[in-house]
Amino acid sequence: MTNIDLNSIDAEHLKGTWEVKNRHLNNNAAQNVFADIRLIEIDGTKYKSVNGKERRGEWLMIKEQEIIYNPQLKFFLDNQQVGNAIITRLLSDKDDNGEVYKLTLYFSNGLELILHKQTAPITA
Amino acid sequence: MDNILLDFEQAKAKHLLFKSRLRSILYGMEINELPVLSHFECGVGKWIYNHALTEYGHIAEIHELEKVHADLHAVARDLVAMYKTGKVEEARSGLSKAEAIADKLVALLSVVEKKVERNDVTNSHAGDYQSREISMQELIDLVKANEALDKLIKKQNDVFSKQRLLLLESFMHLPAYVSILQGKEHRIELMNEPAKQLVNNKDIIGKTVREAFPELEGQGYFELLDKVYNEGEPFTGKEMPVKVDLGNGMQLMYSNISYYPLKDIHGNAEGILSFSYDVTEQVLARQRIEEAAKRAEFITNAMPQMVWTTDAAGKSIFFNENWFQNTGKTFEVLLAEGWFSLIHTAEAETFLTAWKKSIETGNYFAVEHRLKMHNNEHRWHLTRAIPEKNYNDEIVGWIGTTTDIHDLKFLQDQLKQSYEDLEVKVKFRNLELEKQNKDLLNQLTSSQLNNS
Repeated sequence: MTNIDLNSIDAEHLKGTWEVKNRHLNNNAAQNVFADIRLIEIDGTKYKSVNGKERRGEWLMIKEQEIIYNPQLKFFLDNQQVGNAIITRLLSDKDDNGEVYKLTLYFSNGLELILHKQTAPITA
Repeated sequence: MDNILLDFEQAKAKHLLFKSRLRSILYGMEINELPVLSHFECGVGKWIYNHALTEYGHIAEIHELEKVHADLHAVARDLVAMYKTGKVEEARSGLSKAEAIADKLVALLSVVEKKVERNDVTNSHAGDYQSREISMQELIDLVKANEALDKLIKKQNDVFSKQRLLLLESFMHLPAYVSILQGKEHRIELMNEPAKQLVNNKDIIGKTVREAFPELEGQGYFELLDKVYNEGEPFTGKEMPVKVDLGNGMQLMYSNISYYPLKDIHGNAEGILSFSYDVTEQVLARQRIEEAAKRAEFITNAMPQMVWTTDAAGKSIFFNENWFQNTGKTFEVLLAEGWFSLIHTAEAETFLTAWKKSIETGNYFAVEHRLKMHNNEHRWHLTRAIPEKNYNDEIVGWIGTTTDIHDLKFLQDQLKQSYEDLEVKVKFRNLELEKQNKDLLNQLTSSQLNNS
């Protein structure tokens, strides 16, 4: 898989349905609202997380390179910030089924999610 | 009566002259050959055709004598021809055949002489004719010429004997096993010293090879000897295995063998000259080297790495099986295209520069690079090579291994990434904690202000 330069990541990269493939929890992280999600759909400024029941909210991406190089994602629910994460890796690979992305999010309370997204192949 | 005696004595003297001339030619003296080659031009021929046939034509033996005389010259012509074509010994051996005919000629001369005496058949001109043909001085010259020829023959025989002795001496001490086998049964007539020592001086002279070496039965050697003897063609065989009992039980030997047919002057088979060299040590040494090479090849093929060797200049010589399996290329293609063409272009220049430097300096070579595999995937490899040196410490080639480190490389990359990730995570967590700490302080300050 190919590493996508963190600086070049934009909303288009994040758009789509991400499936949680792996998660690392600690005691603090278990309290995180994203700790038990199965799916997260990102579209524009909205997101929907699914873990049996759905949560809908907003998100935004912050990029600054003075303190921390990695893009930061802030998740809001009812105008309250419920999650603050950095993108540690975004990898991509192409195969016959289209393009596969692997996104690693690390939340400020120690939760780490490894998300997969599959895009359909481009057909003529 | 005296005239008749003189007539025949002169004829015999002329015959002696012929024989002397023939011997002279065959021993290399330069004389007039015509009286020897032509039965009309020799003294006896002239006597027969110019005188005897006329005077004694009524005697039956004179005609037989004419025929025998012609035969004698025919034999002489053959012998001279043989001599001139280089068959010297054969020609000289043929003198005995000429002698036998000559004896018959002399006997016939005596018979005719006796009949002439009995019948008192003579001719008053006979004495005149004979005296014209040969004189006493000629007879003296003939005796002297014969004496000179005898000396020459003796001298030549002495030289020949010395040469034969020298040859025999050399033959007996040749550093090879030499023997002479006589007859179709291959009876051992002569063995040189090394051959005798080989059989522990066992007394086998006079025995046939079948009697002396019964253990050779079924190994094809008797049949080979029979073939050489019967067909007259020599045989040469290299590194021929033979199981033989030389007094210490059966043992396997390897020999280079030559069988040469021996023939008499008529080309008939007489025996076989056998030469053989013991090459057992060389064959066993080579077998050991071959086995070692096979073992080395087996080991290299059993190794998980790709193994290769080159000459001193870096030209590829050997690739183990892994090369063909991993790259999908044959030995011929790898040789023709060079395996360096499979190196990823990103590392090719570094690789080739380092390799060239190692060839020049003889230094250990090690470079990490990607290599194109049979499925067109590039996988990371570590190629290492060390120079192979001879006894004089000269580089005679290079032995190299190309090891797949792709997974290791991946793990290394992951580890590196993990460290980088860890660093950023810690920084991120610290920022968050600092923020929380700051929020708490703010809350505490506000609370204290409110309370006061």
